[in-house]
Amino acid sequence: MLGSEFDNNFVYLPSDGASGGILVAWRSLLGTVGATRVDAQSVSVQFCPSDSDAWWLTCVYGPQHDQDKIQFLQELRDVRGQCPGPWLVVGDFNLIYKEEDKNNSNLNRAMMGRFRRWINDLGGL
Amino acid sequence: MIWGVSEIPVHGQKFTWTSSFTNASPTLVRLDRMFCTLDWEDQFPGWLLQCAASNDSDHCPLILGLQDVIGCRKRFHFEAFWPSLDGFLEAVKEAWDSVQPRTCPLDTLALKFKATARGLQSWSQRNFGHFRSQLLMAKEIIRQFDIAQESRPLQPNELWLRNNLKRHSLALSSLLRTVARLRSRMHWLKEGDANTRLFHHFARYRKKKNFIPKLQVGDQVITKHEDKY
Repeated sequence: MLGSEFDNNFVYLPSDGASGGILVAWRSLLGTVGATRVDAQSVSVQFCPSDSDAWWLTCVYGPQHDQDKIQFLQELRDVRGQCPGPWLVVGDFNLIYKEEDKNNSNLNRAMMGRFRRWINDLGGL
Repeated sequence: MIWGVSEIPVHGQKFTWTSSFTNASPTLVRLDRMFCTLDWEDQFPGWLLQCAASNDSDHCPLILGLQDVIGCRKRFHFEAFWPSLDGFLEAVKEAWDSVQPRTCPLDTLALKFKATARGLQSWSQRNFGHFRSQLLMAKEIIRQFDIAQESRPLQPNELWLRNNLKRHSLALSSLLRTVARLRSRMHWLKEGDANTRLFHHFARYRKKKNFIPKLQVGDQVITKHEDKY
């Protein structure tokens, strides 16, 4: 299904029914990939370009239930702890951290606070 | 906030998920996001995050380009600190006088303004490269003296030079900070309050917010950078 320029370069996390599932694929000409890891809710790939610093891409799929969300944020802290250097983290977090992120006022403020703390704490490692 | 991960803003769209396609007023939420660390952004300063339309998903795809914001022709900005620098008046005079009078005095005036703006811009560019390399050189010499001091006492003339260089590099750093602060338009921060990297970060963010991905002229949509002028 992937184009030939991908050369079967991919890492994935299988979906749970119709939800979840992550596929990270990259073109060969992007350069070498140093390491990859698959965690419960995320897939991480370390790119090592020849002309600049190695950096990590983490793709996430955030869970629906509150208890799982707390674990999910912890997972991302752990991933970050083991993936130093420049970091890009992308995906469906299933979390919001400010009121403008939603068009109604049905908000889970405790969870928003947790997400905001995650944003503040990470990076700079 | 600055030392954590920071969110990459999506251009022109607030929400990425809808609860329903049939309901006239669905719940809309921004569930999909991208965050990066400051050093990631340093490595890919040309990023641009846009939202695409989806066919049958309740999420919108996010498309992050890594080299989408290319340097554009610079608009003339008068920098408030220019007049305090040596050579400013001379640069203005030289550019102003470089235009020969035309028959229409208004033409002459317009050309003089244009020449002065261009002259000041290149004067400032010449001096900036200069400040930066001066600062780097001063720091390197200070470092060498510091290393030497670990194995032998410094001579009086070496001490004199090191102290002078320190004073000089303080002044240069403060000037570079002022420049960065003006770029970032963070007026709520007082001069010297924070570091230069932070200001650059905000300046970049502002530039990104001002970026125009496409323009509609009549029935044509223009997306190429050079066509937008």
